[in-house]
Amino acid sequence: MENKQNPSIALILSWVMVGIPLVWGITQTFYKALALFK
Amino acid sequence: MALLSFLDREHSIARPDYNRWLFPPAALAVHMCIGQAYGLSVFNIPLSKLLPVVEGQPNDNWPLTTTVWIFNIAFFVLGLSAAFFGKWVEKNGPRKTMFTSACFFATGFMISALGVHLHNIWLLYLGYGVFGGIALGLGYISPVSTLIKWFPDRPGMATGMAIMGFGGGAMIGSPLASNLMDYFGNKVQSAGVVMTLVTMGALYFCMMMFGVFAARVPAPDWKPEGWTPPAAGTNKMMTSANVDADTAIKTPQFWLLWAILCLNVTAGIGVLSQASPMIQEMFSEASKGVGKGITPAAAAGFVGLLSLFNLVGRFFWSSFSDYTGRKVIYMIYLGLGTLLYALIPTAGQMGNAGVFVGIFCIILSMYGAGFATIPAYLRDMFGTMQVGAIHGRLLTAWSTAAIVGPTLLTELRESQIASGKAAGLSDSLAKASAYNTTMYIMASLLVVGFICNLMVKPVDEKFHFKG
Repeated sequence: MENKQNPSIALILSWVMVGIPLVWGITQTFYKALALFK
Repeated sequence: MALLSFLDREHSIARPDYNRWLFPPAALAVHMCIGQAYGLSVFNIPLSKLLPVVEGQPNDNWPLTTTVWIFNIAFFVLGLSAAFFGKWVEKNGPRKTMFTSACFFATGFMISALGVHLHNIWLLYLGYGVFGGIALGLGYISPVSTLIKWFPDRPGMATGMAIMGFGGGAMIGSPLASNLMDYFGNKVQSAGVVMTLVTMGALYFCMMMFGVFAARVPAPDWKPEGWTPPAAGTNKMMTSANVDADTAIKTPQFWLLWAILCLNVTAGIGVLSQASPMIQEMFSEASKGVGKGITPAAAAGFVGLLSLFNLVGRFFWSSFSDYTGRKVIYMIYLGLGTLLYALIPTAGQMGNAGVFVGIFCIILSMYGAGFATIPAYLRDMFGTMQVGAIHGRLLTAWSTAAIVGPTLLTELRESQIASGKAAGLSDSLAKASAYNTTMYIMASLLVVGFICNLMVKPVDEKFHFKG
């Protein structure tokens, strides 16, 4: 049985679903980390 | 109960057109939620100010020494639940496990909210500690085995991606909790904490349910397009046989990997838990001169930077291990780690904060990577059959290190400060030099880990599963 590798809306939505909170969290931490260089 | 039958493993087998890249977001969703446990300290101060303090009357608020046990219990139970439920997870598949984890996690938040409302610490120990801990253990191992089966060509990258999510969980959980407490608690602090816990429980449940619905297991005969499994015997450090979980714990390889994980985590977690006071004391104004010291705000930035490297290292190094092999990558983690820990006192004496910070960033990247690469190392040694259950049992090393690491660092620091003062150093200079011996001890822990890694050989055929 082979796997179909074509991108799909479900695939994009899934990554957006987890990507938004992850990027938000990383951005918050990055801003906090900037204090080290001030 | 028929309604819940969609959770069964046999009902979650992927159709031929399922794209395997849909599974990592499902795994990430669960790990990002349970990773909130790393950011639990955001509740420390609010939990210690729930009751109004009236002058002349006893203060019944919880001190930090009381609330810290919520975290300790949760991580202790994590190890236990991962170890005890590993075979159940293998049998029932990721979907049912993720669902169970989501239910326990949300229930843990609700019981904790009730505990804050009633000001009963035992409800927090039961809620976040026990229920949350079970959720952490189940959630942590739930996607590992399936990820390795979906990505037999890149197991390090696949598990690195999910376990990176656990590192990211604190980055989301801490600011989310702070913002929610500000939003709900502008009038009554306890109401703010209660509503924050309830809201977080509901939000995390929804996010984890996304993982539940998106999770699929590959069909038994599935393989990635264009990939052929390496012929048996071509790579001795990557077995094509299988070892079941009960047999795996009787092999020396399991205990060598247990020791490697425990030592790597002990060193890293000890530093991570003390990062803020450490940089402030090693680079204080008294030791480095006026205007050259590290401020508390900059120290908080240092902790944030370490968290970022902890996150990135999980994905980067673990993916890299698919090319180098697991034994080589652990030689880098432990060998380079030893060298870098040993260099820290020199960097501190040089007064070069940039070198000091850089060294710690690399160390923390390899600390996270130690977690992320271990499932792939287990797969190489014991095969894919029960790798999730074996991983669960190995996580008791994490629970052990979570208790030993911070305690070891704190005790060593206290004794070093005392001996520094006895030798005639001022308080600030004694604090600045207190970490030197500690860093050499951490380096020696990694040397032991390095030797353990050198001793890892393929599992003897007598342990292989004969079916």
